[in-house]
Amino acid sequence: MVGRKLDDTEIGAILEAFSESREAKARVTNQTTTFRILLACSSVYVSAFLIIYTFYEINLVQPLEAGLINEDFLTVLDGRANIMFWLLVLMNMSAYFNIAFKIMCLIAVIVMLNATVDNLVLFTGLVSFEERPYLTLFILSRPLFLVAIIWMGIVYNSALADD
Amino acid sequence: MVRDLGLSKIFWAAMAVTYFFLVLSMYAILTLPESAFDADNAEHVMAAVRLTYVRLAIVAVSLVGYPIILFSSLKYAKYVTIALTAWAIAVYIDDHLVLYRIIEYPDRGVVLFIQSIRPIFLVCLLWMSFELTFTKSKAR
Repeated sequence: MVGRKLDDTEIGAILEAFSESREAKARVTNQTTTFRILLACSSVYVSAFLIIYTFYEINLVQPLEAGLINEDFLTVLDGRANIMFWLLVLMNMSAYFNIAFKIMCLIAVIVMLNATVDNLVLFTGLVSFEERPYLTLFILSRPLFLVAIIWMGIVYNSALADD
Repeated sequence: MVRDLGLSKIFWAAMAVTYFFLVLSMYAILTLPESAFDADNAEHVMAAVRLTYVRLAIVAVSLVGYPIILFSSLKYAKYVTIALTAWAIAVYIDDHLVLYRIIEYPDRGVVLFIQSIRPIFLVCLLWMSFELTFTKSKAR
């Protein structure tokens, strides 16, 4: 037995034997306070932007930027809002089920980094708190969100080593 | 050396297609004629080109660095491949669903060809990511 390596069938049998305990363990919130605070803050941040954007889009709130509604970059905000929503859903699900959370963080960081660079290249001239507060806050707060995701990936404790 | 990695022939074919696509993209952007900016939508073309130059820098570093990482460590190659695949898909989604009213690629034969084979490039990257994640390799 010493020095003998297990094949896929044997590893599968062992994993199956522990599947019940794995299921129970996956439901335990076995994470640090830092992680929980970061996940909660990220969820609140994305949700707040999505709620404001939705109210804004369906004219439930007074538009802060008068000319924004008819301009092309409203389509950009719309696309980003959709992407952020799906990222938030997938990250929360993978954290809850303890499956591939670090890979999800990696994907989220890449997507956010790409969006941040795109915003910097295309919309630097539009940044103005007086004229476009919502858009400016959205563009400037993205790097902070990026840092939060990286931090979450680092402090995440994958007790079952799924990643 | 290549056989030691234990990767399939499809992986190497996918990698070859990926390299072909990226080198062709670099050629297209570096040899862009001045007349590309004379059209009515010059501002949108300019935005696309500005964005492409930023992406070009990442592509150039990846083209040089990827083989080094692949032959040094399959574990890190897996993460780099997943990261690059996520980035390529994010850029594709951005171009078609988010920035489609802001940017416009030049109306040129080679650019149109690149746009048409872009999904194949993404499929190749996805294959590489899946193979590095799920295939049991001797070298790992």
